Amino acid sequence: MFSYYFFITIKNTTMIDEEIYTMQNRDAFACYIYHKYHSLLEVYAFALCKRFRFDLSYADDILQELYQKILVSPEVVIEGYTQHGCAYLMGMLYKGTLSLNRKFKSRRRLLEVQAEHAPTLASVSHISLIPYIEETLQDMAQWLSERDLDIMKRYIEGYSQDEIGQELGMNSSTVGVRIHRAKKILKPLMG
Amino acid sequence: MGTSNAQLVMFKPEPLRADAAHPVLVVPVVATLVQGLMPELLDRSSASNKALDEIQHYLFAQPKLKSRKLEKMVLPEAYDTLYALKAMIKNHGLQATLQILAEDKRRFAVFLREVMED
Repeated sequence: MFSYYFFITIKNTTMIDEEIYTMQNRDAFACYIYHKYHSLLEVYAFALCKRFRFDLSYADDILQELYQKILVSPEVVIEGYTQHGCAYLMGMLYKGTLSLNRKFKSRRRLLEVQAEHAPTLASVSHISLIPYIEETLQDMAQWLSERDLDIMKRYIEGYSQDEIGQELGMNSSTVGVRIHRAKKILKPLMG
Repeated sequence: MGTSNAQLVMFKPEPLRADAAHPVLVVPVVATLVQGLMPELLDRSSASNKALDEIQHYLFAQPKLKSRKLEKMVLPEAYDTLYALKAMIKNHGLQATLQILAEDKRRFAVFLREVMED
């Protein structure tokens, strides 16, 4: 729980009557968001699930993550909400969905290179994949060069070839070729 | 326009606002969406009414889920939300959709209470 008491006044300029809401703590803010926006955010979460081709049941996970962020870092969310209104909350949902999408990609890629170190599909939205990724990278380190390991680390983290290329200053097609070669090397050794 | 106003007023979880700028704003999710993302549509101008008419037509009269016209008129987040809402209305009808959302909201209150107590 929050160890200090904060007091903030939010003027929600997006409302017709420009009501002024007084927030006394993080719970009050979370409840305010829940009462005012929950249904809208749920429908948007459904929309994001459709767009990313997730099962609609993941909308709950995306919403839960949003409320957890509100409760963990209320000052940040209150500031964003004060400046941008509900567009900020929808942006948070979008980022949460992107992150979940990356986790799904990451799981699929872990399976491609090392089935033993992949979590179950049902657990993906609730757990961190970092331990699985690290364990897999330790195994890969025996067989790949440092550069290829850098590429494969990002690959199994769920990044696209373009993103990996941009981050490592490489052409995305070169990244694609090196991923293909690395997988070819790893298949008989780690499968 | 052939829009189902009857369907719109059938479910009233909250009292109908006397000052509602447009019949489609009776649907709570649409009202919150417009107030939150596109408050300029509440100015009762003819351009705003046209946009709200289009939203109403899309949700209740147009058979197709996709609408290039609406997509160009509103913000991408708003279009995505309306798209998902339309899909729900198409599958369940407005009344059932609003009941599903209200039930989901009640269910979520349990989760929220639990995490706030942690």
